[in-house]
Amino acid sequence: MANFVMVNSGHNRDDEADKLGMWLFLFTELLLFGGLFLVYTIYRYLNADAFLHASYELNVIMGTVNTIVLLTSSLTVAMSITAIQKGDTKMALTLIWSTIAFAGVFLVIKYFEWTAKFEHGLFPGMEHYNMLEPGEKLFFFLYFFMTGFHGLHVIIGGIILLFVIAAIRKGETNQGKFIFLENGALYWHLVDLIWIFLFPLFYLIH
Amino acid sequence: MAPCGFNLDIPVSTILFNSLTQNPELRTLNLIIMSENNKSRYLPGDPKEHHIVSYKFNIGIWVGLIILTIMTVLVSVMGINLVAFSVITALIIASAKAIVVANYFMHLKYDNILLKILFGITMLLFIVFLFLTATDYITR
Repeated sequence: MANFVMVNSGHNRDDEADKLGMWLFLFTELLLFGGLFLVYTIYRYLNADAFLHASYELNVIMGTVNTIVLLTSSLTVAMSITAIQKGDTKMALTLIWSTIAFAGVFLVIKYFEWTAKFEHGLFPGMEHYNMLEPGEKLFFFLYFFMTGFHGLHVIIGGIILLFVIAAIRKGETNQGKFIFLENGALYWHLVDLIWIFLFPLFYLIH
Repeated sequence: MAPCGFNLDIPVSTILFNSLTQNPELRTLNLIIMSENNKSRYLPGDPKEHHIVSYKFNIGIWVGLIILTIMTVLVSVMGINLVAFSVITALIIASAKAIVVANYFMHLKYDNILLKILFGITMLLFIVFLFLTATDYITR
């Protein structure tokens, strides 16, 4: 009886397929936010003046700072891939930790922004919100829902990066095999990509 | 997917290769085929060559993105009376930023072309949704 030994049996690995799978997941995320952008676009078209008026309530400076924070976090996570490709694990870890730190900064700024809105009673269901005209209500509802949902993605992205750090520490992710870091970074960039559109649509439409 | 470099190439039967090596006229052709095969084929598990984006280049991209962000804010703050203009400009700049992030930070430029095509299809799908919904509301 002949013995068959399959080529490379026992440890199948295909980084490109891994990455393709990650991208397919990201496409569903893009379409998920795409649906929300669709709702925003239509209601903005129907309530142009109310949206314009309501958008003045948002703090452009905080929004701009948050955009810069997220872009910088994207830079550090992209550089961590360069670092691990060059075999500089220590540098890669530092860069991923700084990405997580930037995520923290983003969330803290978001917290102060939301707190200010709560104080003005603009959260759906609050007193001031209930007295607004329908178009402005829609604006604030969408603002809280979309930035809140995006904030949730920031938290998830940070947790994924913590797992990546653990994998690098254990040596499972290294110079020769860093697809986990690449996929984690892809998720992080997606978070940045969504904010790139959220920022002008909510803060800069005047 | 084979032309895109995935491991789904159909193996050419060895008989064909034998006949190629025995025929002197076809020997050169055979060599060409072999070299072409070596270029695209790798076994699963072999580390594939990656394009390493330098730190410097990454920082350059980041500087570009920051400049675009500041431009958007300035257009919005200064163009108060040009409502339509500022919204459209803001969206064009946002799209430019998104393309830069996808191409360079997300490595779409250096990865398999298949990912880029799929990304394009997803965007096209979104534009179709947007177009259909918008025509419905505008023509009511």
